[in-house]
Amino acid sequence: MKKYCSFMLLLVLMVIYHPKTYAQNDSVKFITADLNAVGIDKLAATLESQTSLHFYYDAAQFDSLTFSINVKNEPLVKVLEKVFAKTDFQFSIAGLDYVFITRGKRINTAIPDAAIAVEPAGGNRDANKKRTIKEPFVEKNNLKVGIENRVFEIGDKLAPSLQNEVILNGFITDSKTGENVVAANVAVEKSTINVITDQYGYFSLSLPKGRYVINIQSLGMKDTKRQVQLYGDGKLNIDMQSQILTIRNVVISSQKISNVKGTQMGLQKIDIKTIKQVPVVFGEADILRVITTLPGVKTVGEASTGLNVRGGSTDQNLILFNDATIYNPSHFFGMFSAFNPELVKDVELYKSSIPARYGGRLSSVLNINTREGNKKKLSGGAGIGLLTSRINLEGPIINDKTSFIIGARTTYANWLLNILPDQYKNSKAGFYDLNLNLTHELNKKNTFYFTGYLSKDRFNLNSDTVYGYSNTNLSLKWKHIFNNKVSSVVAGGTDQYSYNISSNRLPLNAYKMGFDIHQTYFKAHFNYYLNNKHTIDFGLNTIYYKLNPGYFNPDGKSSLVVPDQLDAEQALESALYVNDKYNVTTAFTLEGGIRYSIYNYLGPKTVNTYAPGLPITESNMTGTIAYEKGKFIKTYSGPEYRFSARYALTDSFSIKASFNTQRQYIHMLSNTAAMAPTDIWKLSDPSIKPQYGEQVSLGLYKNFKSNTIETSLEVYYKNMKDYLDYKSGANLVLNHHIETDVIATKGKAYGVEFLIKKLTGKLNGWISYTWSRVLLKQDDPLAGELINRGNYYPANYDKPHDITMIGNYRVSHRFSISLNATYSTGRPITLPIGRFYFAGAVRTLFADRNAYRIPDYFRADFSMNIDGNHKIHQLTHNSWTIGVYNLTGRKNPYSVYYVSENGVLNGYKLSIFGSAIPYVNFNIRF
Amino acid sequence: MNKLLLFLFVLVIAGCKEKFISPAPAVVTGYLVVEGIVNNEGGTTNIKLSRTTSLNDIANIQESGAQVKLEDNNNSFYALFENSNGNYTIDNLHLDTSLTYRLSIKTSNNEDYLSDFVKIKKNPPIDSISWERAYDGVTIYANTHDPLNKTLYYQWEYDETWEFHSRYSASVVYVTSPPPNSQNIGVVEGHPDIYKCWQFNASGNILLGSTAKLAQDIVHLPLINIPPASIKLGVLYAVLVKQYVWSKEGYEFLERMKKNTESVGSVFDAQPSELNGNIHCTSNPGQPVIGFFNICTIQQQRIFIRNAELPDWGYLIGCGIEIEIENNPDSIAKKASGLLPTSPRNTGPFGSILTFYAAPEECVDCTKRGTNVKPTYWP
Repeated sequence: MKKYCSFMLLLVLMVIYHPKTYAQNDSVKFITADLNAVGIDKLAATLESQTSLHFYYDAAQFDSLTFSINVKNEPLVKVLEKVFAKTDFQFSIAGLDYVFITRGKRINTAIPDAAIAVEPAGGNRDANKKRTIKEPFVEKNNLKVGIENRVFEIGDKLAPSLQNEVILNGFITDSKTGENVVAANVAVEKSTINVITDQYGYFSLSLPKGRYVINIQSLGMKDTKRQVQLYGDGKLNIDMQSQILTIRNVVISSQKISNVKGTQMGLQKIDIKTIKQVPVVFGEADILRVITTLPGVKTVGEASTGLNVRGGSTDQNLILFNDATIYNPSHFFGMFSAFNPELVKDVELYKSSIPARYGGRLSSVLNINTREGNKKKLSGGAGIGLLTSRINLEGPIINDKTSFIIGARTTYANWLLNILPDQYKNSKAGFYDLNLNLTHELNKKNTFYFTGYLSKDRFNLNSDTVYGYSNTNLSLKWKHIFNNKVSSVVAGGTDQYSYNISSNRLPLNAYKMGFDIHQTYFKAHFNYYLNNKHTIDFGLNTIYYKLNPGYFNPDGKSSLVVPDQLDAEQALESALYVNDKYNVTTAFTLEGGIRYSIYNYLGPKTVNTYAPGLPITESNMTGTIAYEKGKFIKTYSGPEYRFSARYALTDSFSIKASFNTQRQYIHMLSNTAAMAPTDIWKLSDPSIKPQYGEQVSLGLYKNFKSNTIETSLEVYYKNMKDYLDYKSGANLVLNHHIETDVIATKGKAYGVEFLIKKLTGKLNGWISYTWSRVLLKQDDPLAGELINRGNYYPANYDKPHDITMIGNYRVSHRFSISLNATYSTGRPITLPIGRFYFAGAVRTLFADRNAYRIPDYFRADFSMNIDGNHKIHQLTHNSWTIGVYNLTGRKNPYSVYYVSENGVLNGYKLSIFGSAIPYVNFNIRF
Repeated sequence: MNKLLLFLFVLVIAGCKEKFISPAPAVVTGYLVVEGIVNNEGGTTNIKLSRTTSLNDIANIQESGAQVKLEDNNNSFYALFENSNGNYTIDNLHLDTSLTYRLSIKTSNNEDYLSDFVKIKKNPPIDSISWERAYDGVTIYANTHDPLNKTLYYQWEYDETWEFHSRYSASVVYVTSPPPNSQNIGVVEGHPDIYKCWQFNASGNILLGSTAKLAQDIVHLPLINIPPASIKLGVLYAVLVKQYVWSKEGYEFLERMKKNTESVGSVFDAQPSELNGNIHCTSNPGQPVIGFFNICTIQQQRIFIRNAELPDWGYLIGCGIEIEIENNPDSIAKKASGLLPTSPRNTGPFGSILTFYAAPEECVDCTKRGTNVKPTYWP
């Protein structure tokens, strides 16, 4: 019924839009003509020759527009209708003598008609050279052909202007939800000029005056194009239609060309639809798990969502959730990522040329963008899985201006613990996460965004010790467009992460301990589109950290625990950056950026001092110095360079190179192979230097089959300095002199990454292969004990071979199947090389760190996605996901350990998922 | 629906633990392992020397024929002598607490080892060994305190002993034919000492406790848990708890060893670390030595727990019932294999036994599972 209604409305509007002015003058003149691609002059002459009419028009308005007609004895009005049907020219026939052809606004030869909805494009000449061409409402539906063939005239043709280059900008929006289309590719046909819309759907192009065809492509959207005639600066807002096959998320086309054309190297972008297709354990669509299938990204094992990007450790990734830094991105011992997939729009991972606007981590930037709420109507969804339930709701607060989206997830996963390895039996676990995003579009130049995020975990592993951790993030962002060339984003917010542990089994020793980190940040980013050759980004970031490295307090009255609290740590990390993207020629692009970061370790704090030139150990501690509040205890600073270059050999083949350096002032302290919830963070201080990394990489990018198949090959080499590793038996918890337990190591990482990706068609997916190594070395006797006698040793996550295949086959619009398979070399472990008898038991003798490997890893997963019917107008849309994780039931070892049994040492492999795990998920959308 | 899924789930999850064959079983190490504490003012000192072996060896290699000396910083020394293979001992040491001491070892293959000098640690006496009964059985606690708040780092070891009884007491014994046949040919009255026996167990884990984070040096820590209905408390149970005290470094050494070898097999295990103690090989400085030299008074205390103190403890010997067997060689050979006689069933004139009861050996003979030699400390 509703569909019918809107169809009716459409008809009505069409009628209004095309008032038949000729009706009042029913001149019946018949025309016979056969013209092919003639200009307006020729057309007019032909028509004038067969009638008594005179045509009035401005030839300049027609520019190079040509017409083709082939008619036999047809009425003049019909012929004119035909001729101008696909243009925005209007005609009026006055009396029996005159025909006025005008652009946009019809010369009204009768009573003025108020119903004309089209904003005049050429009318308002005295006001301003800029014009906004608003697309006629009808075109949002099915008059695509019309709008694509229409020539939009931008700027004032007659205005005297010396400028040759003009600027065209605007927003690209989704016609259905009103949401801005991010990262849409806006390309000028027959040239290599293309830009990508920013995160607000904004684009800006600088072009010489003239006639152009602009192609617009974006993930999950129908490709569209616009024809423009540029006379001066102007604005063109473009609506794109989503691929309404299922509701929102089908990927038909992607940024096909940007892979080859962008200067970014090592940038991977995945949208949520793709993420949801990948089968994962228990069917919980998991962003971080999918990220680990990309080349160059590894994880220690199944119970860890910690990412190791190109040989970096898990703390070297900047995880941004709408600009908020997430310190612990996982739930449930790291088995699931803490992001609600229903709210996520897409994920970008930068692993080699990290833009200058990001800094503070060595390895990568993972940018998670959430959706904006639907600005047009209230909608939502809910899902039930084996492990979690989730619900989300979105809708307008003020139509077309303000929207919200809210999402929540919670678990009922206690039963899962009973099937995990023995040590988790009798355990309990719970988690939830909440998201709230608000978007307010004040006007086309000012948009505000608010993001709130809360995640909380609580579990006890052996019924007496309770662990809990939580992330809390608030951020506010203001996007402002100054003019065609300059736009800015200003953001601020706070991020918080904390964990706590309590145990009260023994009243005398009952305790509560914990850790927390707060950061407050401010970012201002400016984008200056200087001209077609140069785009300049610049801005500043500043972060104020406040860390409570740990407290240990009594729990209960009978506890004898002495309250112990480490001094809070404060620091300020600031950076200024500027980046220029320089299109030298259409084929050759250079991008250079510099980021200067300054780090101040601030008082109040009592700092331990150590004898200079001696190892930092407790015995070499010379004393302490107390610093007052706000005092600069230690300052580190330095430039970070970001260079990249692209050379396009052909339209579909390019070569890129990049070099970049990074500094990291905050370190995660973790003595476990996996990322554990009890890991703490530490700020650089006088004894612990910031980490420094540099990376050089080279890549080849080639697209096949009209850009539907992307391939890339990248090689990289990376150096790391002052990367923290630990002395044997290091105590990381509540240590008043943590610097004595850590050692600064050097690291090197290198590798080759290969990716072949097809994101269109019935069969889509990708295959990635990585060969890489990451080796660490501690050879400075002054820094403390040598590890493996000062030789290079592999890091915990050094897995040389890694191959992943993600495949999805769409059998029909409602049914698709997915299969993924992954193989990797086993991770290094320290194995015992001998045994001895001590304190009543046989014990193991460990030797060189990470000298052996656990057996290789292989896993295949399968899932089926079944959508309910696709009638657009029904109360709810349902979908089912049914799948099997670890199809082959292979027991992939996660760790190896030895136990003494009857005087004999037996080695065991522990696997997290020792069999095939079926799952089912039910989703509903309304 | 949910329940069904859950059930399916549990069905498909199989064991996640599998045997692992080390790729490195044959590495030869042979590092010296030094175990033991010098017992000042507390009786006998035992220092055990052994060698590390390759991973799939079963036997322990004792280090015999070494010269072991306790040296003080005034250049005088006490020599220990080897009383059994690899065990070096000295009695009744009364050391000067104002001096520091080190251990010097010269092995039979002329390797020299020296420990760092250590101070003598004072060990407060054990206040009590207490126990509590809860749903998870009986838990035994060590209680101690140091009024000076100086001890801080404790280690305990324990030796358990318990009495247990056979299911059936025997009042008859077999008569055996002379060799070479040695067949059981009949039963006669007799009272074999196979009803009351003792079993032993020593601590195999490193039991540590620290009061460093507490306001007072007071210890109340669980050492042993005896699960409900355990045989240990079936009759009478005794445990001897030994208490040692350590320096911070020594305690950390034990903690590392414990982490390396006991708390393994979980997802968040710490990485194994090297075991550097305070003993060094002076003749080959790169060679690892395992052990940490320490001097303290060994404090000990023994407690007894009677089954009568634990109403409804619930210990039951799972044993088959007695069967009746005719007292002649044929039926004994036929029916009584693996059985021992318990009591007469039918007696004939003049007290002759016509038939008797018999039960499986382990239900009758407690020496199959323990010793019938009563420990000297048993009441």
